[in-house]
Amino acid sequence: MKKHCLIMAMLLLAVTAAGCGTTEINKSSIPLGFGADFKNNQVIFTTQLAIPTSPEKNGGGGPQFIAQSATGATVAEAARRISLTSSQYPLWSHSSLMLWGEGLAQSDLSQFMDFVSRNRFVRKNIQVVVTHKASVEEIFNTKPIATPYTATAITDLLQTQETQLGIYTPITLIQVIERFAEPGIEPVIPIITVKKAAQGNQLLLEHMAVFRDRRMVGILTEKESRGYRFLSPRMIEGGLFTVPFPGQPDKKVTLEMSRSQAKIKPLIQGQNIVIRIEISAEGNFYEQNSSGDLFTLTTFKKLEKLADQEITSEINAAISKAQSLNSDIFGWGKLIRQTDPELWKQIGPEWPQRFTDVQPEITVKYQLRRSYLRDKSFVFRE
Amino acid sequence: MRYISSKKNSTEAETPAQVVAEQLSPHLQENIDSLKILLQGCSDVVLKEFTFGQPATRGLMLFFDGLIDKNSIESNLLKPLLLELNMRPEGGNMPDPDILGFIQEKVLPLAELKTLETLQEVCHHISSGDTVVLIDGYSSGLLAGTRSWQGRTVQSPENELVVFGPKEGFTETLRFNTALLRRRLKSTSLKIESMVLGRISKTDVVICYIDTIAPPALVAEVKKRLEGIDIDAILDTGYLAEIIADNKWTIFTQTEHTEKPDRVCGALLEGRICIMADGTPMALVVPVTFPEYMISPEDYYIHFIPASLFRMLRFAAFLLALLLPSLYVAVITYHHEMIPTPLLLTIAATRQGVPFPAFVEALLLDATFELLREAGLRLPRAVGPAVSIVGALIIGDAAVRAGLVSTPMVVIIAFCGIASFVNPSYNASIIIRIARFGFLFAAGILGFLGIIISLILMALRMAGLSSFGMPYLAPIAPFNLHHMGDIIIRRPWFNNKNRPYMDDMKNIIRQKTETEKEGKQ
Repeated sequence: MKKHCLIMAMLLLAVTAAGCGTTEINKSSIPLGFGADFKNNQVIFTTQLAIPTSPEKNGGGGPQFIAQSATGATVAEAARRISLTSSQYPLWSHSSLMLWGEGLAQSDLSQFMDFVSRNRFVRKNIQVVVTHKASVEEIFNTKPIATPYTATAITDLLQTQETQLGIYTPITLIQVIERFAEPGIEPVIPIITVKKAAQGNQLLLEHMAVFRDRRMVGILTEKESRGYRFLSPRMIEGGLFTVPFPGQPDKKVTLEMSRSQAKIKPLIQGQNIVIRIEISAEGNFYEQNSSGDLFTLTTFKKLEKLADQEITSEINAAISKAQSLNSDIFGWGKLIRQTDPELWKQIGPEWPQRFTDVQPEITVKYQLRRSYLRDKSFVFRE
Repeated sequence: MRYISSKKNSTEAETPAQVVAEQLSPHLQENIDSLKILLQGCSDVVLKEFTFGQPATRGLMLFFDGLIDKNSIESNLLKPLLLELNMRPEGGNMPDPDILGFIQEKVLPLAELKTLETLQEVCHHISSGDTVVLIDGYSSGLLAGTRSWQGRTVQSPENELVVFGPKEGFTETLRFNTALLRRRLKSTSLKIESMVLGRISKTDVVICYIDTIAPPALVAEVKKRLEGIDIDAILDTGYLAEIIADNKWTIFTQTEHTEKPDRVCGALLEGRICIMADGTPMALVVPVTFPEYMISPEDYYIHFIPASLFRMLRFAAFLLALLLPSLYVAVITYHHEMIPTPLLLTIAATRQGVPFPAFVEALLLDATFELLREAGLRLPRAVGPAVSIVGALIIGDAAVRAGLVSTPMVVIIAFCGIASFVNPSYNASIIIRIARFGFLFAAGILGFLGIIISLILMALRMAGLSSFGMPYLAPIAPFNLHHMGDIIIRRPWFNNKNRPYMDDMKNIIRQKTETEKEGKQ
């Protein structure tokens, strides 16, 4: 009996102890995204906190988020100094976006990477984006169009533009960490900036940041970003590109990319390293801005050839930019390490120098599949 | 003081039964005196003295008013003795040495006539509604079956509603109930063995089984356990269920209560045993295992595909009713990462300003729900709607508006309440209702870890139980593939060749295959 009483008492105490080490939702804030910048040897940590509004009381207008910033010597300290202004306990696990300020990206990243790889609250599958011409705080204070939160708007933006346009490749935190840690591959991170518009500031994705070793060294333009995307080892889906009308360079034809797969293989020819790139892509005829009839077997072949040339030139642009920045963003070094570990042992240490001399050998095979609702060009009445 | 004095009385005074002789006396007057002592204070007894026949013989008729059919007594007892006897050709002459035998065989037009020897028997039978006639000069009485009382007719049971299938339910009268079984299983292998339990209530209890199917050891065990009962009264089979259970200190009941004769017949055909008692419509079925609580008799009347889907739904509802509040509390309190961000934002918005932790909130709401449910059971019909309005609208809505509880919690508890009503067995839903609170506490203390620990403990406890030797979790543990084919899904009838396995079952074949049929020819 005594034993039973004791057990009951222990259970009751356990119930009252519930709550130790737990955070009630109404005492926590929900950071949807966060970012860090580096200025005057101080880390500026900014986070976007959601202001939960109940569905009943909706329609109050005003932003549903608030950006909070704090400064500290290290990232962790800066992050925790936010609790000097905001009373609630942040649930970092709900952040879906990490912003790197331009200052941070261009300075030594070693003061930041340890924090993000060690921290157990930050999810490793969140998107990483670099800011340009705008501080992290400015980005987080920009009200997005038709959606409540900037952080989720940026992650959605990355996904949508990739399937719609096929320009920038999103990258997650774990991929960034891997690319910094592994030899023979460097990270490329999309850049977000702020565009002045009539209705106020708007978000704009523009260019990608190229890193080498520990810092940002340059950017990829739109064309180079497309080329970079083609060289991704995974199957890529979605995107548009425009080629000249066969025979009429001033008229354009827009083709859709439904899928594209790159086969990349390093070939060692004596002292030279050749990377053989085979792209097999397929897509659909999307638009022509002229009335000439294109749907003959010969023009189809011509169109496919033009598409091949376009893709090849994009890829070449990306490769020459990467080589000029001396940053192996395609992971060719990693590829050599995987296919020929013995060779990598020799050339690994001098890979940064060797990378610039690598000869790409590009073959592109783009196939047109469908033409949607019309099989002929639009014909006006006579 | 009172305790001591009552003890004293019982030792000194003699009970009425002790002052009179046990056997009936041949002298009517002695019998009347003894009966008057025995029936002292029983205002509903009727003692009627009369004289009949040639030579004029004194007789005494006694019965309890209200339990008998007065018409039957008048036309089948009094009229033949007092009137028709004299109109016979022999003119009311009776063969003197055997008047009793003469009127039993030749005068009284009643189907049920017996002789009695003791006063105890007389008292027992008149309290069961029979009429006893004592005749001067004979030491045995004559018992006439005149039982008739106002009882409920066969109606459809209120607690076990079905859409398809028989709608009849048991009543409070045992004979009607056994007749309902006999009408469905018209075979002499349906055995209905009777016994009387209860020192004061003298309740008729029957054990029904099919002797060509039921394991003899099981029948013997049920009889043994029932015979071991010595109690003052059996008012419902619930008394028996608790006394004869294998494991008594547990919320997991090991018997099934039902009011439906078709359900009982289904169980009998699986080799189980049904125990019924007079005065209650609830029949007990033993043995029963936990997974069978999820089975409704209706499953066997509708097509097997929807029946199987409904069963899966029921299993899902069982888990939801058991775990939903605790899962919610665990997620809200400990595992915020598991909630999708938009949902978390919604929940956070609704929880703004709620003063209690989620655990306390769930406990309060769940307790309120149980309160409402319990109140709903006992309410007079007239105030029923008023309480449901107060309960559902005022408490629910006002509590949310006042900011005492959050809306998602109300949704969770309401959902959980609905899910717990899905269960076809009231016994199982009681288990769920109690266990849910256990899980809630576990979730409040340790989150998912606590829920998992409690689930393991519950499984261990259930695996350790048995119902009349049958493992409580059978056929899940110990696993039986054949029987399992009729638990989560309903085995189609064309494929349902064998009965669910039970130890020592006499005949396992339910449907004969073609070859077996030919072998017979």
